[in-house]
Amino acid sequence: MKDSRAFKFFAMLAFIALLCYLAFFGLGPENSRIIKGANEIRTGIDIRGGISAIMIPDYPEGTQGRDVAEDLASARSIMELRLDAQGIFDKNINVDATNNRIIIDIPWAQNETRFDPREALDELGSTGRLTFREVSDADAMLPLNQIPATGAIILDGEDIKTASQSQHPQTGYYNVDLELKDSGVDKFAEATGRLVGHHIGIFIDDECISAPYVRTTINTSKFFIEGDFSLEEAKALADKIRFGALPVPLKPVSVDAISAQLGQGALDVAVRAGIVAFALVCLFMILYYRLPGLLASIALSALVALQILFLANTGISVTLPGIGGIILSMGMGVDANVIIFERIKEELREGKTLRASIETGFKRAFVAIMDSNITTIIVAVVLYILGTGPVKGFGVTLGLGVILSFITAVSITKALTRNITAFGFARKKKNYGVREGGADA
Amino acid sequence: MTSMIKFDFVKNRKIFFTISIAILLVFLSLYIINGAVLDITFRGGTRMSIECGQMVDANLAAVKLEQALNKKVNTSVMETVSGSQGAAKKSIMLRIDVASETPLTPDEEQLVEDTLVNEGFPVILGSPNNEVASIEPSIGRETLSKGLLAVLISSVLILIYIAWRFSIMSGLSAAVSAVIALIHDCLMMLGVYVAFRIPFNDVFIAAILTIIGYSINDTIIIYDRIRENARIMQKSDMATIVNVSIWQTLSRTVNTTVTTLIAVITLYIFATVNNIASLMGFSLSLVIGCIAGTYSSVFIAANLWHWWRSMRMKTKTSG
Repeated sequence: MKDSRAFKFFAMLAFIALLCYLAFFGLGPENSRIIKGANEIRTGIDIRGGISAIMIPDYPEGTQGRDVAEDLASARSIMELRLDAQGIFDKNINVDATNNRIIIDIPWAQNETRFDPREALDELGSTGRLTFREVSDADAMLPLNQIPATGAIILDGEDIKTASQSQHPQTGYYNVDLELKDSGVDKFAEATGRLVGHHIGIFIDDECISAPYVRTTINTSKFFIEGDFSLEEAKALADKIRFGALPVPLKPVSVDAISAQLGQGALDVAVRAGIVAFALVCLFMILYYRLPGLLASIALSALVALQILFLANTGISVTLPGIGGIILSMGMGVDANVIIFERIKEELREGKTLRASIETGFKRAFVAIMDSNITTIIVAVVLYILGTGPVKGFGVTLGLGVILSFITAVSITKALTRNITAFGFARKKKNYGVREGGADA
Repeated sequence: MTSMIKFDFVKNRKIFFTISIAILLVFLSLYIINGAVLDITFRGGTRMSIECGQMVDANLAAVKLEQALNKKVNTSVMETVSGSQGAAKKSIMLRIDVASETPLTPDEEQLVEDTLVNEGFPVILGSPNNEVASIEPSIGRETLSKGLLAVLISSVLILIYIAWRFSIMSGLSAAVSAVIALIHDCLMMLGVYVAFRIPFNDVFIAAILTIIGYSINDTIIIYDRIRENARIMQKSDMATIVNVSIWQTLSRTVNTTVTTLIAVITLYIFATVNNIASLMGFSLSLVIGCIAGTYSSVFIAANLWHWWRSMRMKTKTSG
């Protein structure tokens, strides 16, 4: 019995040590990490700098009567949503109203260190890159958003002249009419000839927006996608094919490297502040709560390690305020532990045995911790759903911090506190900040 | 149990309410006198790009220009590569964003250039790469209104959750009191931004949301005790239950506040010593929010609830 507790205790310690190791150093070879560590966290534009591009609207010839300001504004919000979807919450997209253009600042991609305008352009150009690709029969059965963009490319956006919608005279449903440029006709004829009876996927970036079935070989420049589309659906699909979901294609006229507003120095400062804050919080917990405080400090290092691992492996970009948020969560993260230890202390003061006190302490504290955390999670979820940009990013880190601190408190702290009672010194009430024998006994 | 009470939270509630209201009134009058400072991300402004002969300290330029213009200035340095690949020419651009309602006047543009020259920045004034543009707010009305909507919806959901979980405390009054305490904290933070003339930007939204999460935590822990004690201490009156509950949770409240303050004050000190403005504003507002959040949880939320309940009782007995 006693031995199994001691074993569990050391097993938990070893597990936490492993977490910390992974968080710092990652796992796997330098270039193809299996698990990414602290050094591979994508730092935000304020810390590392990034790319600043000026984009101008590139209306196809003969376009008339467009409200340029309106198009730019909606292009701006679409680009914002797309970058949000990639976990890049720290970008600036400005509409320059004087010159009718968009200035977009985005942070370097992960592992990008050297400035190469060509590469940067590719990254920008890839938002909304349209491709027609082969899709295997098995993949074509999947829901649209799960079809992988892995098949050979048949056509890309450059090959398509235009797309529009029209009503089918008999069925009343709408079709999407496409017209290819000369460059695309032969390629498409070859592919459709080969793929009769199979599907072709239409992708924007990696997202499949349509996967029509090929009925016959198409060797003309004009063809259509038939389906039971409503007018809105057909128009939306045609618009996406035409412009890659932007109301107007945007052409970069210049791409520059932009220096960090704050720089590496600021990152170092924030990291040093984090280390000092971590040490001080642990010191306070140990001085005040003694043995449980030490256990809480160990649990806190697990919490920080888990946070680092999550951020590094999801590719969410971390800005300086984001690091501030992590530091804050160190202070707030011990809260659940504080609630539990206060409860254990109270039970001990009432003269209960140590084991009984620990059990009731965790049980009674659980409801309080749950209620208080759920309200915070409500805030985080609403922010994530409704917010854009930094607000959305903040929703992620806030929710993450709360969930992780809840999990570490009810699992790691609990396992450590229960199992450490295997050791003689850990059964002295004095080590829990309560006088021997209980205050009231 | 009653012997545990060393301080009567309920009896002294008028003092606590008065302190909060007085501070908020001071902030309000400061707002009326001074108004609020908005960052360029919130209200747009003017962007000037000026070529430089060599690398410059963008932070220093921002400080000098803010003094000269008396407006909020953000700066960054850009490395531009122009020309074809063989004959690529590298140039260094200083990008100056000035937050302002109206575009900068020619005089102000001149002032920017003069200030940079006088402070010894290696600017190339006649360069063909230099330009001036007006910038729409990047955190437009949409983002801001969505952020506010998010706060509103989360408040309503929190209200519903508390009303449901704390029905023993006659839910609605408990929920409304908790949300009033939240609004109190938000106003305090807004007030600090106004009082210290810290410009509002996206970081502020993040800070205020953090405190909403933090402060509601504190309040719920105290409610949780009231809920538990209401079952155990059925013979005691409500004031005693509230007092005992606040007192029993006090060391937890204090300790969590201490650990959180340790973290944010450390951040604030590091940011101040190293002169990192964006972290200073963020951590300072968190320090204030943290203190306000603890204060409102201990002295306001449960007291408001008790006040409301006892008023209801009175009207019931008299009617």
